[in-house]
Order: sequence, then C-alpha cells, then structure tokens
Amino acid sequence: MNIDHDHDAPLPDDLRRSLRALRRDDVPARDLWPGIRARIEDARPAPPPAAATPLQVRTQGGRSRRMRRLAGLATAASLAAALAIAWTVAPPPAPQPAQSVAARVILREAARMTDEYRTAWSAFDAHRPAGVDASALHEIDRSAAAVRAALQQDPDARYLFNRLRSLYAQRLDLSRRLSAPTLST
Amino acid sequence: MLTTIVTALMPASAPAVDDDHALVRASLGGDTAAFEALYRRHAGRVHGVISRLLGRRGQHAEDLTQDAFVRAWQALASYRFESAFGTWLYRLAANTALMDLRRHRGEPAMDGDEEHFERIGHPDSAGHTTALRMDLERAVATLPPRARAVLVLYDVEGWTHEEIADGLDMAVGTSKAQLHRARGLLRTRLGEQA
Repeated sequence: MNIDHDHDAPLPDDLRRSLRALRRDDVPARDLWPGIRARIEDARPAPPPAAATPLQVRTQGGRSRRMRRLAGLATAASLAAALAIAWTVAPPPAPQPAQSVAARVILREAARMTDEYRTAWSAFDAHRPAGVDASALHEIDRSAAAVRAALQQDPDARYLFNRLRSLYAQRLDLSRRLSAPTLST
Repeated sequence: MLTTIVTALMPASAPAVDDDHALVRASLGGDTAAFEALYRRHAGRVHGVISRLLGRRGQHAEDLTQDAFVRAWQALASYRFESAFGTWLYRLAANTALMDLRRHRGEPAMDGDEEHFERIGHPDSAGHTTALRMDLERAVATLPPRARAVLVLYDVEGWTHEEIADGLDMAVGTSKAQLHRARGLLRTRLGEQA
C-alpha cells in the first residue's frame, strides 16, 4: 500500500494542535516506587563476596546441592560469554556487505525473543523471596548481553542466536525455580 | 527525528540533563535512591505516554509504568549518555506499551472485535448524543487499539510512519492506512465539530 494517506484525511489545524496538546505528563494515581524498588533490589549487581558468618555456613549446608547446580549454570553462562566475546574481539575475516535480509530477520527475531523472555522471567522474579541468591541470574544476564552484542556484530551467525535462546531458556527456568525455592530441591 | 521532536517538546520544567546523568551514573553503581530520584522526575512522562497508547489509565497502565522503570534499571548499562535520559526513557516506555499491544494483537480486544470498540461512546450506544460532548481525550481513547496507537504516535507523540511501523511491527503502508482510519473515526466521533 503506497498511497500516502496523510493527505487523504488531513486534520484541521485546531484539531492537530489539540491532539499535540494531549502530550502531557500524567502522574500515576498511586506511588509505584515501592513495587519498583522491590523488583530492582533483586536485579542489583552482585556485591563483592564476603566471608561467610557461622550462621550463613549452617544455613548454606542444606542448600549445597542446589547451589552447586546454580554454580554450574553460571559456569556454563560464563563459557557462553567467553565464546561471544572471543567472536566479537576476533571475528573471522569475512567481508561485511550490506546487512542481508536473513540477518535483519534474525536480529528482529532476537529482539522479539528478548522481549518475550524478559516479560516471562520478570513475572517470576517479582515473586522471588527476599534473601535468595540471584548471582547466577546476573551471570546469565551478563552472558546473554555479550551474546547479543556478538549477534549485532554478526547477525548471520545462527549459532549465536541459538545460544541466546538457550541462555534465555536457562534464565527462565532458573527464575522459575528461584521464585519457589522450596519446590526446587 | 524522534529524538529531535521529543527534545523540542520537553517542557520547560524538564530536569537538567546533567542532573539526570549524575543520577544515572549513581544508579549504575547500584544506588537505588538515585534511581528513585529518576523515577520521581520522570514518572509522569512515562505514565503519560503509556496511558495514551493504552487509551486508559488505571491498574494496567500503572503496571506497565512499573515494568518500564524495571526495564530501564536493567538496561541502564545500554544508555550511552548521548541523548537526554528522559528521551531514552520515554522511548523505552513507549516500547513497553507497544510490546503489550503486540502481545495482545491476536486477542479479540485487539483486532477481532473492533466493532465493539467502535460502538463505545457512539451516540446510538448510549441512547443520547454523548459523542458530541466527548472531549478529545476520550474520543481518542475509544478508538480501536491499533488505530489509536498509530494516531497517538503520529499526531500526539510526533513519530514518523517508519518509526511507528518498526515499533508496532507492521508495514509502513499499514501505519498510514491505520492513521487514515483513525482520523476518520475520530472526526466522526467528534461530530465533525473539530
């Protein structure tokens, strides 16, 4: 459809001005900050490791198996990040013509997938109990960010897309289990 | 172009860019108090664009506003300090609302039951001439969702058809057709008084 419809239904100047005047701030009826704070506290960058207190040692003992699994996930995510970074720093010497249609499709799909997965795991993250260690989530997020950056550099690298999807699936699964830690062991 | 328009339309009371940048840097370090200050400064603008795109205020618009700020926190590292933070946040908020519209595209309320939306506020639906007295904001709010989104983005927010097509994942021609339809419906609902 190539018809320029802007000229088919032109607006009177006063209506055009009135519409533009609708663009104004609209403060929410309730304070949303407490809810935002609760959600971003979970996404705060991981603090530097500190020596465990005796109480922490005792409580961690019963969760060691799950923590090992989480550590394994984080390690896998780190490997993915290393792979992505290596690809970014030293890509193969290939000519870079104008972005292909396939590349644009992959980038669009990656963006869509990112939005959908983020929406999905945010729902779980919102219910994660306070005090649950989310460092593995942060590690996966960093890895996914590195893979996304690599994909931007080389959208034709299908395996990067697949790797991103795998990381997101891990992230979603982990978010789900951390949102109900008592059910995951 | 969007950046230019958004910057040009920023109210005179807009927070100083330098202040925002300092707050963003503090937030990047994990300072939630700094991020709260950003929320206090920009909540009205974020909630405003989301409400306009949804066509309503209330719980859902507030939930998406909350989502937008959480997404902003998570994506702060991608902010390059090249444009005003308010512009970056505004675009992120608009995309949050557009994602929601896309997510519900297949549902009856989005496309399959537009006749329902077209009846809302019509004189015949209420038995009296409410449409003639509807203010512009309400008239826009009762447009079918996709048509409303295109009209709001083009005529209110100042986006180009290319930007709208990208945001709503539609063809540029579809955006133009939706604008044409939305303007026609709007004028009908305003009783051609505009």
